[in-house]
Amino acid sequence: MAQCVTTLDQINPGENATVVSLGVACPGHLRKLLAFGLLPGTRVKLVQSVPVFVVESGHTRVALDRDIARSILVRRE
Amino acid sequence: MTNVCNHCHSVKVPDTSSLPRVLLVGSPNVGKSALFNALTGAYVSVSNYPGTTVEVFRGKALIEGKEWEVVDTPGTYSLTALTEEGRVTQALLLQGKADVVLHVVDAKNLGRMLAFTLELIEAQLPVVLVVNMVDEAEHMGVTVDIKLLEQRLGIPVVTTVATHSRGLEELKKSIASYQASTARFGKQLVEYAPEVESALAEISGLLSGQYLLPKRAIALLFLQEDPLAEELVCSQDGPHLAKLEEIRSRLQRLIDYPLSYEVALHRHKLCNELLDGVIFSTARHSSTLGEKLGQWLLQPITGIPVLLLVLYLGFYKFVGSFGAGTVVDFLNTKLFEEYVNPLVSSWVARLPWPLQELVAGEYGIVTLGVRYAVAIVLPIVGAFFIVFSMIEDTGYLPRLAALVDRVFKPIGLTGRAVIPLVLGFGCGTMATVVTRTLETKRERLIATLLLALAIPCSAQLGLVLALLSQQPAALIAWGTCVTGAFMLVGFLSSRLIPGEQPAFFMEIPPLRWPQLSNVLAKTFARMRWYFFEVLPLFVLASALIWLGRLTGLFDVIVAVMEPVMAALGLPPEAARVFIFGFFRRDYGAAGLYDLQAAGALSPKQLAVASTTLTLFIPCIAQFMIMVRERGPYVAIAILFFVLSFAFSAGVLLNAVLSAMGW
Repeated sequence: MAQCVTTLDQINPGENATVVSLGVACPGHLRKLLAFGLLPGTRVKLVQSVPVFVVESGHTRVALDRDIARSILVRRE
Repeated sequence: MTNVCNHCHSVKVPDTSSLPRVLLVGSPNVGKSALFNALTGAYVSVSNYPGTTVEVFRGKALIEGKEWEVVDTPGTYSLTALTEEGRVTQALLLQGKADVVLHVVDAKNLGRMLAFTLELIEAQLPVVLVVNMVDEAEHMGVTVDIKLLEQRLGIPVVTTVATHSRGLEELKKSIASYQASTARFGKQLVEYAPEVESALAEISGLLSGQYLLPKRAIALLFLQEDPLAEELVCSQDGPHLAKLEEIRSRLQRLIDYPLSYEVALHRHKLCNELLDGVIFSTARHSSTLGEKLGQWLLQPITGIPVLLLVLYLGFYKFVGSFGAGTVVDFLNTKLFEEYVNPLVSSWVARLPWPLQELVAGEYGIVTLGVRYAVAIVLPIVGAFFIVFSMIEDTGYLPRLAALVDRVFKPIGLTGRAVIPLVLGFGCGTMATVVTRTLETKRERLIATLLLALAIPCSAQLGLVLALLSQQPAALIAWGTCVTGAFMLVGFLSSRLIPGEQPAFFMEIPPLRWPQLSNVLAKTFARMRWYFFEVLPLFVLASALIWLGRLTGLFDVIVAVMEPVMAALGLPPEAARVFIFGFFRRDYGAAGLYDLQAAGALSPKQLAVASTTLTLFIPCIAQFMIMVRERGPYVAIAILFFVLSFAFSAGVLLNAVLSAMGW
């Protein structure tokens, strides 16, 4: 199932995925992603990818730029 | 991090009141300010975007027959602050006195916000969990078992709808009874991995100074490299600092991720366990109209037309045509020129000449200062704030931020900067304060510079639009120049100012209907603030110009500026417009309005004058705030840059337009 693990910017809008790990370097950014509820094990849905990535987890919607989206490792469903 | 001791300077939070104190804390955009207003009956700004509150607000509330001080704080996600304005909240929690801490959360997002509650409990702060916006959560099919949650956390939990004062009585009861039973602290809920726990024990054992929070909480913050905790430890336990840092680095070597992330992740995972069986969510499949609309606003293909529509109807039509046109015409020509000015002139007719001139002359306090403030500036600013307040309440701004993020990246900013920049079209002074919500120093600096240079405030913009609306070509020339200056200076400063490229992430709140009462209260509060800031400066300007004319100094300055005016291709009288502009940008624009009314300007001159004046220095108030927020050196550097840029751009535009045969 290794091919199912990819980065958030690679999945299609409308697709669901589970966060595997956060590869963000900056500790502040990491903690902010946690504050938004995007911790490993969380189910997310990619709502759109242009002009920014919008992910939904629970009742939270978060807009992210491509660099951040690229550093979030997810498993496709 | 070995040299932290060289700059030990603890953040001071003055204890202004001897009353018992309630502190409102929580993530951005959960309704802390709405709750503050409901508790105190005062009004602080409430909107629908993260970062509305950037300063601490204090008020008084009568709770169960006793007077309390209520403190509203800028939003923060955890006890360790991530943004500049969040540090204020952190300082209040770590160093201030708080008899009750209300942790306000958004009910539907309880899951991800509870981690902060745990942190507050760990710090043994007297915390009450306020689950706010339960109406919206219920509407979305989310319910919370409050009793079970209370049991698991060991602290009082209250549900509220702050904007409708629901649940307020119960909240007041738990605040009052909290004080009566001060011993009731939450139990130790969180246990970290064994190696973290042993490092915590080791650090706590070494701490011997005076701290308001328990040593374990300080140790935990220290492990997370929290700057304020490091400062506190360094001032209280300086001699142990090297040892403490060694413990921290030893632990860090054992763990793959940054310690702050490790600790936060552990807490978040624990929250998921604690909430098992507490939150019930009935899934809905059909999306509501509001959700669809919210989605459209985020897509360029639908979002850009909506943006243009908002700009056209809200700003061009309502602020420009109605506020700066109809209302200004009425107040200025009808009220002042027909009634007030003749009346004042007849009153002061008996006074000696210089005093007559001071009150009712060409630059008189009433005939010019008060007239500009009341009849020209205030209606425009009021119209702008009505529109802006409505937009703020809907949740449109975070969507706009997401939409423009890519356009802002090349100028060193992220979409987040759209909030201070749009606010800058209302008042650059307020907007400069709001740059605090930007994450990095570099972003704050670029935004401050752009606000000072290329964002005209509403009064100025309204007047320029009113002036240029008859001259479409001049309007285009002005728009191109100002937008060009914005992009050019943004682009260059993002190349020249060192620092990392900023990252963009922002929560997108649900769309909400603006509440009329909130829109009106907010507009009124802003207009009042603006008016009392503007009026004294306008009066002062009138008085100084009067003094200058009396002594002949004014004419000297006008004469000195004549060559500059000539270079700009402007008539010598225009010099006074720029002198006005030194006092306030909108004061200068109002002067331009008078000059145009006298038919003294050609379309080319109008384009050059409005462009130069738009780019021209920020008003005195904005400059003072720049000094406060960015420091005197940066503020003065920006001032000189903006001045020389504005005049160079004006000279260039004049040359280009002349060459084009205007």
